[in-house]
Amino acid sequence: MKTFSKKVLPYAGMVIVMIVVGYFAKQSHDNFEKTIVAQVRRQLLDTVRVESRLLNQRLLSLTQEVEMLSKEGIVREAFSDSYSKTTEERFFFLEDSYKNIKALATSLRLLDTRGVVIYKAPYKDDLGKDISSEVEASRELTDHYVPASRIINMTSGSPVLIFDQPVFKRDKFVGQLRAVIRLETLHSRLSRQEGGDTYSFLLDQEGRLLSYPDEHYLGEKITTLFKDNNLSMKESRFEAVMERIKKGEEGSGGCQLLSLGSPHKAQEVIVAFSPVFFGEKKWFLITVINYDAIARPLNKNVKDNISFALVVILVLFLSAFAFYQDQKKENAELQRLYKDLAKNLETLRSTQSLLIQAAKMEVVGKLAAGVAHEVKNPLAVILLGVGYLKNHLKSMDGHVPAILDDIKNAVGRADRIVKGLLDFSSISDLEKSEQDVHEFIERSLLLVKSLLIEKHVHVLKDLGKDIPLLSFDGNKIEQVFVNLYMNAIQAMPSGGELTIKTRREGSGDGPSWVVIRIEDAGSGIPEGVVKDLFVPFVTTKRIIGGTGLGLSIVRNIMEMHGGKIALENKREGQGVQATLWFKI
Amino acid sequence: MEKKRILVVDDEESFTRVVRVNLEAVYNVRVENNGGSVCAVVQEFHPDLILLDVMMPDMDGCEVARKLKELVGSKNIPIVFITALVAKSKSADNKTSVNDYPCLAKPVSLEELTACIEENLRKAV
Repeated sequence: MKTFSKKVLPYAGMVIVMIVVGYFAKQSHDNFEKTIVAQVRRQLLDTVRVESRLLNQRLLSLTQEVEMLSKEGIVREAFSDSYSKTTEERFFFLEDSYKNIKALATSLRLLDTRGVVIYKAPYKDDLGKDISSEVEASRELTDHYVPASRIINMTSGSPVLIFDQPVFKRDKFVGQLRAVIRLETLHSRLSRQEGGDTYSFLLDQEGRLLSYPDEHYLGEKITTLFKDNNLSMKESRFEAVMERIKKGEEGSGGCQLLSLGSPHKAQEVIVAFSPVFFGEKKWFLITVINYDAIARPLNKNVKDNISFALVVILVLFLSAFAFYQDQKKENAELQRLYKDLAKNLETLRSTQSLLIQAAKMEVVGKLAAGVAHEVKNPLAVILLGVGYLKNHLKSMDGHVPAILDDIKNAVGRADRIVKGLLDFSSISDLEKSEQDVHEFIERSLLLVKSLLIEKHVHVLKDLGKDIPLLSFDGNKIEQVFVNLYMNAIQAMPSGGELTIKTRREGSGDGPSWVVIRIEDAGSGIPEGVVKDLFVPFVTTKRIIGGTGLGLSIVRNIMEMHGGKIALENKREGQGVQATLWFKI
Repeated sequence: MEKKRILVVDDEESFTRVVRVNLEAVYNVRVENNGGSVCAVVQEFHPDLILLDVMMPDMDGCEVARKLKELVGSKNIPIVFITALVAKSKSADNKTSVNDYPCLAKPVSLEELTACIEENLRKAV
């Protein structure tokens, strides 16, 4: 779980950092976009306001021009005669007049009181044509009604915007001066197109398109435009814009409108609108900018920023990953060093313990050697003295030879104790080398072979196959095995089985051991003695010459090898189990 | 037949005495309790075998044996060490000396002692 957390946490951390960066980038982008959009709306509104004023001015100029032209003598003169009297020369001057309004109007006409076209510039195609049947023209001719403008959907050609001005000669109505602006022309002058992203159009109060980039819809209601393209006024939010427009407001807003290209597609736009006043009419100039046109550079900027951020994050991530890998390696190395250190410390402690033990044993050894020398000399005197007395003492007492034998035996026992003390104290002189412990198990068995045969003890061996070489003093370990074999043999005076097992035990981070078990099938150890088995001079075999030093020596030898020994009654069956542990 | 001469060298007077009384019925025994005097005694006594203690206060048995080796006429005298040091000697020098000569460990019985003396006397002939 710990390792999993260690592996996952850095990646989770990176993901969280990326999410946070992404969140703030989005916030930053949204704020930036809002600011830019607000600026664009302001600029668009300024532009549409200026253009609506300009358009207003133009239309006013055209009205004035037409009015002024109607009062020009040359125009009034044109009505002095009937059409039949008209000559090319007469209209020569009118050509100049048309040139003055050419920039504003598409064409200029003169109609007589009957509604017949007596002059037309720039083309003469309608000359002589009676247009009195046209409703509006008829009304104007009858009532001398002067509308500021109107839309006439011509039976042939495009919708036009007509400026009519009655012409009077000496207060007598003689005809009409008609300036015509084709809506198409008006649009081409109004509706700027900048790469298709920006355009303008003009609506009248009834919602008719007076100008629009797609000529097909000129003169049509804007609802038709929406309907034809399956776009809902409400859903596109243009209805809300229209309501503001109808109230004569100036302003801007966001909605959906149709794209200019074919086929038309609904696209998000920003619109700015401003009213245009033309006589009693009120029109509305609407400027549109494609939202994408604003968002495109922003998005590009965002894309660039995100790309840059991703590159930076990637570089950071790779750096962090490399750093993490280094740390991981360092940690592994540190852990390895820590383990080595702990192992060395354990070895050092063990060695220190052994050295302390060795130092103690050296002191004991020196003491024992001194004691041995001092004891053995008197023992030598006694033994040789007994020998002399046995040869030379002619006593009447029959006990003398027996007592001399007792003295001799006592000397022998004292000598064994001294020998045991010397063995006990000489353990510090270990001569260790890497050896096969099985070899020493066998060699030690050879040393007690005659005793095994004599006592009818059968040996069972169960030796492990994976036992490594061990570092030990062969003579000392041989002494250990012989001692334990002897104990086992003595525990089975009527014979039995001596079992020897070797196993490799322990694994993982802990120490590994070679474990040797020597079991007899004797009667076991009396419970009261078990705890004192390794105490020097404690013996259950004093009668047969035991000194009580054997197991003490065995334990000391094992401890000086960094090993252990335990002696206990077998849990199953009868007998004693001696267990030896050798550290690998 | 002349008795074989045995020189017993040990700083323990009680030990040399008991050895002497045990052996003098069979051998011509002389005892010496001072290691430093052994060479002079040897030149005078001409022993057939020397029983030599190892640890002595003035001069140890190994040193005595080395000096005897250097003496003309005494270098072939058989020496039997008799010592209370059962443990291995600690100096390599001593170890060599003990290995070169037969050694009896104290306490030794009269039977072991005489058997050893006889054996080494036979070898010396």
